[in-house]
Amino acid sequence: MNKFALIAVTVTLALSQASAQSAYDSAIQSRVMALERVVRVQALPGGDFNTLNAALADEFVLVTFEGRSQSKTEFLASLQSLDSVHYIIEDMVVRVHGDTAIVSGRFQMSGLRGGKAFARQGRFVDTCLNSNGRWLIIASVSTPAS
Amino acid sequence: MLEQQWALVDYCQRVYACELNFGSDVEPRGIVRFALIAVSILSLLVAWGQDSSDPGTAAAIRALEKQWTVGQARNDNRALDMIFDNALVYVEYGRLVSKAEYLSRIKAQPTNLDQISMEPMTVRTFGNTAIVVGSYKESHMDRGTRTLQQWRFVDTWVYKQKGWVLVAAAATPVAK
Repeated sequence: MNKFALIAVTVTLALSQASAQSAYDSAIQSRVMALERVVRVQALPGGDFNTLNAALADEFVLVTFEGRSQSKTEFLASLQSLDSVHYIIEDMVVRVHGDTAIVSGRFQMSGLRGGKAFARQGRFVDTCLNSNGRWLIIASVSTPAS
Repeated sequence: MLEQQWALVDYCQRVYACELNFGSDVEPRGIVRFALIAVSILSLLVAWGQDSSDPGTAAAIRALEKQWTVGQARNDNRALDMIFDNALVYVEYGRLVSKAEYLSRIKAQPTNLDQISMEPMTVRTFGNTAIVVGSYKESHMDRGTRTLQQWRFVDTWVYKQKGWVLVAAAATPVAK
């Protein structure tokens, strides 16, 4: 009887811990997805440099669609030449590893740069980090979809 | 952060030097200042360990990157299985593939030791997370002609119970 009770308590504790972890991961997934939407769908098309500056870590590194590596400063400077941008995200998935979250998804981007129209579609993978309660994007890579 | 701690250490050393030069009637003040210096140096060492240029972590990550390349070339799925996290997010040739899909592709492909040549990479660590940015050249035969494509990648490693594991990887072709 005692053994049965011990097993029941152990299983209950394990289940409640797993449930709490799942709820924690789910909350982080929501926060990180919201961060991605703010950055890609709002701040980028809107030219909101303050939001971009706050959402990207100072050590942020980007590998662009063309395979170039850019720092945060270089990336923000490159946005100055954009006349207009329209951005769509699809199939976003977040995987949580403690204070690190990996976001992957598909994107469609179109607009005008220097008066010339451009359009791209592909996949992105972002790495986000919890820095004192704030989630920041520390790395991003975009690649053409096959 | 590191500069601030250096400044604090420098300040403490100056205060302690003054104390030694001019003497002090109250012994505990000297002990407190000595303790302050010790704490500052300790916190500096802790911060040093978390710095992005942590040479030990960077070397470990570089070694894992090499293991990955060698493991892939030799179809060594057992080695790759240990390097990759089960929740790996991997984008290869523009497709999102799972760890199982990637391992089964590697298992099926012929062994090819000179297919990939790695180029310089940078490793940045953020506590238990490491970001690797680098490039490599991949050669393959296309209708009898050997072609060479350069790729630039971002890999993300996370330190877990059994050590560093790859949690995300994606590469994009460098425009010619």
